Amino acid sequence: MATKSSNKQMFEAKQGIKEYLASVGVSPEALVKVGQMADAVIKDRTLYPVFKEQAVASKLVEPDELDMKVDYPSLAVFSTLGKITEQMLASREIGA
Amino acid sequence: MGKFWRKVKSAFKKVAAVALVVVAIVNPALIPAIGNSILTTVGVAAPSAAAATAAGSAAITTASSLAQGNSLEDSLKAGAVSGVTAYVGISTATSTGSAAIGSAAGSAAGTVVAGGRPEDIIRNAVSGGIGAGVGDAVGSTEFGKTTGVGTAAGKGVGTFIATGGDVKKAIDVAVNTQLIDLANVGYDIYKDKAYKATLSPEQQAAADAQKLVDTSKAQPGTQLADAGTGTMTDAGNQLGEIRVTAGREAGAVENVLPYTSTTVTKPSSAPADTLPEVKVTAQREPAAPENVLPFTVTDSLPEVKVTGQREIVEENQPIPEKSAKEPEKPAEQTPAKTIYPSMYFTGVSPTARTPLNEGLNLSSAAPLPTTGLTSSRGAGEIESKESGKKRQSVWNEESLRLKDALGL
Repeated sequence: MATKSSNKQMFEAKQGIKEYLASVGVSPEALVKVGQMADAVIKDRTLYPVFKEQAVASKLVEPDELDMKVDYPSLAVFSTLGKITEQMLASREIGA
Repeated sequence: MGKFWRKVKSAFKKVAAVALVVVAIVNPALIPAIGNSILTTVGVAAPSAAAATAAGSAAITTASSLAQGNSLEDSLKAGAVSGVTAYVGISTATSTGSAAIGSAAGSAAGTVVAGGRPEDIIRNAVSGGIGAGVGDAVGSTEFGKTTGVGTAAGKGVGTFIATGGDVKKAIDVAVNTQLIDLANVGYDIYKDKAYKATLSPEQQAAADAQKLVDTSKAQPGTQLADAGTGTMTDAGNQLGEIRVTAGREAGAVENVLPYTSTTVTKPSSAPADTLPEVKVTAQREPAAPENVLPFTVTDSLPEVKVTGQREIVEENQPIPEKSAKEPEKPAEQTPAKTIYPSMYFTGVSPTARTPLNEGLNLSSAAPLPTTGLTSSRGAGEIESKESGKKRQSVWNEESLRLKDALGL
């Protein structure tokens, strides 16, 4: 059940994504793809190096931001950002 | 680091802060998935759904708190509390079958996080009421006292310092070494309480008994309950006799005396055990007149003649004195007895003149002195001292002396 507080948090999250995409100059599709990779790493941590390489290559994160070990909070962030971005694309809140 | 990457870094931190807050809203399944991965990474094989959710919630909450600029300590506390809260929430929904928290495991933690409660949790953590708060949430003060969420945070902080600022290690330590144990304790306490709340006292007793049975089967030799009152004294190496007594088990019993039961059947024609009531009636006798003697008095008594022989009483017979105390005996009617009084001769017969008398010139009128022993008796005759008996011819010293004196 969505509450007033959660709606506000979602609004802030979407605003943050827009600023983030605009700041790093990354397409929303790239963020969705990295988010999907993050989900895959969460299920199979052996994919973490591939994810890290793709995230850095996409210029979504600087190389030292991600630890050599599995950085689950960062994976959670990318996974969440990817899903929110996917919803925004579906609702045309952001354009491709 | 170039300017670009600094810009990316700053942008990432900013978006990460808001993203972590809405993780539970956007992707509830992510929390237990992350928790499961964390626990697996640190060596916890096949963690339960509740534990995985707790770990995931703690990790994300901590990261979210850090991303929002809070201190590591507060962030770890917030993560620990979030994890425990999520754990308890899931346990509640699971054990009671209630969907109050949410159908999905992650939604419970998601509600906590999405409802803006992380801020409240952080404030509570800062104020130092973490353990008590969690204890109240569980409904048991044991939870907060025996474990303490702050311990988990402290472990995380210590690890953070020891590792030179390794956030992930700090979280892993906090989640693994303390939070899981904490959550397990809380879960067990709550599950037991929640389950028992649905049972009647009888069912609770049966459940406790069944638990003891299961424990005994799983762990033979386990002491299931405290022994009864008694005293055991350690006698050192000296073993004493131990006598174990118990009641005989029901079953085949030997040495049972044969018993034959006799059934007495009362015939149908037999009289009843109780006799009918019988009334006895009679005519009342006329009342006897009062003061009537029960015998007849005649006017004259028959004449009675008493006859008997008169007793002869001798005058010289001494009458024995009767003792005053001696009871008076009835007079016996004995035949009259002839009494012979003792008689002594005190003189010489007039016709008995002897030469001695003549020689002594004694007148015949004068009485002769005599001893009285030899008067009118023969030689050697001594008058018997017993009156009434024949004289006996006995010579004794006195008579012999007399005989010699007389020249007989």
